[in-house]
Amino acid sequence: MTPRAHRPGSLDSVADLVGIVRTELGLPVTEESASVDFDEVTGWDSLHLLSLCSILEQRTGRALSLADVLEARTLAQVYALAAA
Amino acid sequence: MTTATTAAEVAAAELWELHASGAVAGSYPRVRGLLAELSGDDLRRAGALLSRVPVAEVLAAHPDTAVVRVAITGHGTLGPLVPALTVELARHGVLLEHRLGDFDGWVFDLGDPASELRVFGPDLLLCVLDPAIAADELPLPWTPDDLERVLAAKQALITGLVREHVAGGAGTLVLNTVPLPADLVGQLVDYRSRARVGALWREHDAYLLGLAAEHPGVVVLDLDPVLADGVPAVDPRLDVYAGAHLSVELLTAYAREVGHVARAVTGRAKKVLAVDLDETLWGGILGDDGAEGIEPSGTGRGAAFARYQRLVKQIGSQGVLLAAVSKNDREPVAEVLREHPGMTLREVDFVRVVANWNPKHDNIRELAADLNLGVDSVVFTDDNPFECGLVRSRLPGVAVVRLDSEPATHGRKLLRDNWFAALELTAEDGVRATRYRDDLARKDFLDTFESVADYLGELGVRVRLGRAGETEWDRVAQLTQRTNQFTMTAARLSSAEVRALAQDPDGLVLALHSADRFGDNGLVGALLAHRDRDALHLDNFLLSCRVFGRGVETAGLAALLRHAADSGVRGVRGAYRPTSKNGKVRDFYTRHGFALAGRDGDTELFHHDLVDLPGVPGHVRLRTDLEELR
Repeated sequence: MTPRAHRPGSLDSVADLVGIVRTELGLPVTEESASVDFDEVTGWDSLHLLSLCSILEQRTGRALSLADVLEARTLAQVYALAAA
Repeated sequence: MTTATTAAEVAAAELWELHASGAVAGSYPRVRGLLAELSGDDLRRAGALLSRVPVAEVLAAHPDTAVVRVAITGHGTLGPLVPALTVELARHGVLLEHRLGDFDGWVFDLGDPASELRVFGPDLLLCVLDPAIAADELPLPWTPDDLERVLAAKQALITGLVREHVAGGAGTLVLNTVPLPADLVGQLVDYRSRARVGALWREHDAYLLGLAAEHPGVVVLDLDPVLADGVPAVDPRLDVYAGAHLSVELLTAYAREVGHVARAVTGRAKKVLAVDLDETLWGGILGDDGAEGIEPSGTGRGAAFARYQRLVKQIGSQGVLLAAVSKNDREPVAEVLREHPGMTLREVDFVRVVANWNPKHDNIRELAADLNLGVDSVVFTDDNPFECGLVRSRLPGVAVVRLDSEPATHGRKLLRDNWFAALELTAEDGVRATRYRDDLARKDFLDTFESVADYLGELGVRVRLGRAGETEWDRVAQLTQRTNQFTMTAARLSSAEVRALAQDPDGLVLALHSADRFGDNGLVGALLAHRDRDALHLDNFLLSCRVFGRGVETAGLAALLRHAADSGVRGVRGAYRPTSKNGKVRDFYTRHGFALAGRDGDTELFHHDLVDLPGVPGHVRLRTDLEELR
């Protein structure tokens, strides 16, 4: 998978979001870890949510509520916000 | 897998493959070349990947990789700065080893000598100033008088912290000017008050910039030019929800500037600007269009080329050596440089004009060798993507600035990476090009002699060793920052550190001057030492590569040892710390009667018992101006 594989991207599933996190943030997350609390995800820190929010906005062309994204505890929750 | 087509896509894909296969650390020397192709989002993404690679892993695989220690502190959330700094330093082949201070911990981090950041011993201490530092303290409602009071208090605070740093700290403190957010000034409805806020804010910025002039060891990055290029200052959501008071875009641009400062303090500033001619300095192709057909000035594109020539000349006036490297016949180029009425740059502006049909990478390699510099001292600029790609792949150390068919943007492309950024200029910089031209004349002179000994005999080398005067401390600091080959320990000193050593009763900062029949070489070497009871510790010995091979270093060392012996010193200690570039001085001390006395990690320690002193070479006339050592 190259960084280009997810661009310009749709966001149709949690798997898409996992791919974005892997390519954009370089974190080795999997679909299984999407429902794991960020505290348990190796290499995760809260600043990743800031980057992820702006990447997802670029990708989907829609504004997200950063305040809500910062409250998310799992990638699955981020996906729910972005896909809503 | 998608098919990559552009150079940027190929590079991004290769970097990703390295990351995915866990091979970044092992292939680290390759990374710099890949990053040279990337910009924007690709570069941001590369920063995210690279910031996950442990510094220790890269050093285990490539122990010679340069590391810069950076401490980061400020008022707001600065985490996004780390990947940006990682990639900006990696672009210059430098690894980032960092410590991030606690949120809003800047006053403590800077002010307390025992703070984690100061104990870390950074090369660069970044104190990121943002508008919230003042805005957070305004009452509600507020008036310009309140802002004036708050800013005055901040100036006093920052001045105190700067003094504390200058007195006790090593390394370079990096501050910045502070953007004035529209959201702040817009809170006042009348234009009179807004004007006053604007004036107070700019006075505050001017005050900060003044700190750099006042204190050596302090750099103040002016963010105004960055903002003027359209970078947003503040992202309101990050500001409110994440306490990040400067936008990610601005922090990214800030990181790029810090990369330039890091390059300057680690001796990686570029020293040579090699320019192509056709379509770079003038419009048209000399070989096809003839001298009368090219456009070095005039209207339209000619005006853009004239502006670029003026920029190149301006850069050359500040100690950067200019060279032309062009695929052309020699004679027509010489004629244009001598006689074309539209040229701004002339033969005399260049240390060398190379016009031939050899590959440019061969020409650049030869140019660097003749100037006694590494190819990584060279910036090469060309409009031809093929030539740029070839030089980049054959000589990865050369910074290649790829121009295109729009000459109006040549200047911006050249300046974008601040390749020649220096902490400060010294008198030496104004005459450097002349000195190098003299050196090339010496080389021609050398070719007329049977042996090097005959040559040296006729050269008339004069060497003077004496305490560096106050006006020379900056030049000594600059030598420690620029010298990579003849430096025994590669310790880089700021002007403040040189000053401190010179003013220390037990410290010794000696300057070596040399001259010969071709002219004055200026201050070409430095000996840094300190007295410890009856031993003298030679902390470092530095010599400009311009005067290698003339016995200057032997004369300087012999004079120091003789003087030490006469002053009742019992022994002189020296150290050699290997770097990737100073291998030629590994045996410098042992060649002059020092004995290996031990090791400290990879550093070799030497001792001279002052019994059998080395002599001054017969072809050198030496003058020593030293009072008795204390």
